[in-house]
Amino acid sequence: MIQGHLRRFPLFDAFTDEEVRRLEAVMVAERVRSGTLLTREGDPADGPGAVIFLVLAGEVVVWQKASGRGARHGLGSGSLIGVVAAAVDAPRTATAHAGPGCMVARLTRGDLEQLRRGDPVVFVKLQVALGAQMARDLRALGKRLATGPSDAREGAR
Amino acid sequence: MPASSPSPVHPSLVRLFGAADADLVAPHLAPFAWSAGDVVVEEGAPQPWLYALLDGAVAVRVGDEVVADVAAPALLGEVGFADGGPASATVIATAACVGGRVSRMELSSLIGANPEAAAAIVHHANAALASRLVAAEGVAAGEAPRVGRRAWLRDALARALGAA
Repeated sequence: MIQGHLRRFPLFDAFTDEEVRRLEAVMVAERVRSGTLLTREGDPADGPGAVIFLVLAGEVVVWQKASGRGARHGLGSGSLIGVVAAAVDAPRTATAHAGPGCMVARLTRGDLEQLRRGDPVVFVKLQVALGAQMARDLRALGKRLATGPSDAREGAR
Repeated sequence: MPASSPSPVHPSLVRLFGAADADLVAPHLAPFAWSAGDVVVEEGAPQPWLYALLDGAVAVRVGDEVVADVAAPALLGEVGFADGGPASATVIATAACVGGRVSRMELSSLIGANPEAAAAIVHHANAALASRLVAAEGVAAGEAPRVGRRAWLRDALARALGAA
C-alpha cells in the first residue's frame, strides 16, 4: 500500500480522507530504475502488470511510435499513465519508461475489479478522476492542434 | 434528480449504454426536448451536463465555423462534464431533439446514493472521452496538408474537443 501520497494531487480532491486511505490501501508503490519499461505501445493493457500507473515522484518518459517522427515527453508526479486503456480496454497508446528518480503506484485490473465489487464509491471516484484527466488532455491537445501540428503531440494516456 | 424516467427505456439509450446499463442509468436522466434552431450549449459558457441525445441531430460550431454534425444516438458534453470546464464549442439543434441529461452535481449525489448507476454513467462518458482522445492523437500524429491547412486544423480541433 501507499500512504500519504494521494492528498498531494488535485486529481483526488473529491475523495474524503477515508476514501483516500482506502484507495491507497490497494495501490502498491515502487521505486523504478531509470529506463525500466512500464508500458509498450500496442500491447494489451490487461497483462499481468498494472493497468494504471500514478507517478509519485520523478518522471516517466513516454513515446508514441504511431506519431510518425515520434513524440517524446516527460510526465511528472501526479500524472496518471494508462487512463485510455483503463477506460476502453484498448491496447496501450504509448510506450512509457521510468525516468530518473521515478516512483510509481500501480493499479492492476484485479485491483480495479476488487474496488468495483468491494468499494464502489471509491471505484467511481477513481473513474471520475480518470475522466477528468482525459478531458484535460483533450483540451490541451486541442489547443496545441489550433496552434500548429508540430506542437500537437501528446500521448501515453 | 428525476424520480422516474420514460418507460420503456428508449431504444437509443440501449444503443448508447447497452441494455443493462441503460436500465440503471435511465431513472437518473432528466428528459430534455429541443427545437430545431435552439442554441443548447454556448462556447465558453459553463457546461456541467452530460447529454444523451436519443433522437434528432445537432451542429457543433467552434467560432463561426460548423465543425461537426452529430446525429442521435450520441453523448454530448462529456468534456465539460468530466473536468468542470467551460463548453469548448457551441451546439445548435438542427432538428427536433429529445434525450436525457445529468449534471456533475447530480453525479456527485448519485455516487453516494447509487454507485452502480454512477459507475455506468462515468464508464460510458470515459469511453467516449478515450475514443476522442485516441482519434485526436491520431490526427495530431499526421502532417497538416499545405493546401487546406485551416480546414485540417478545424477538423483536428473538432475531433479533439468533441461536441461540446
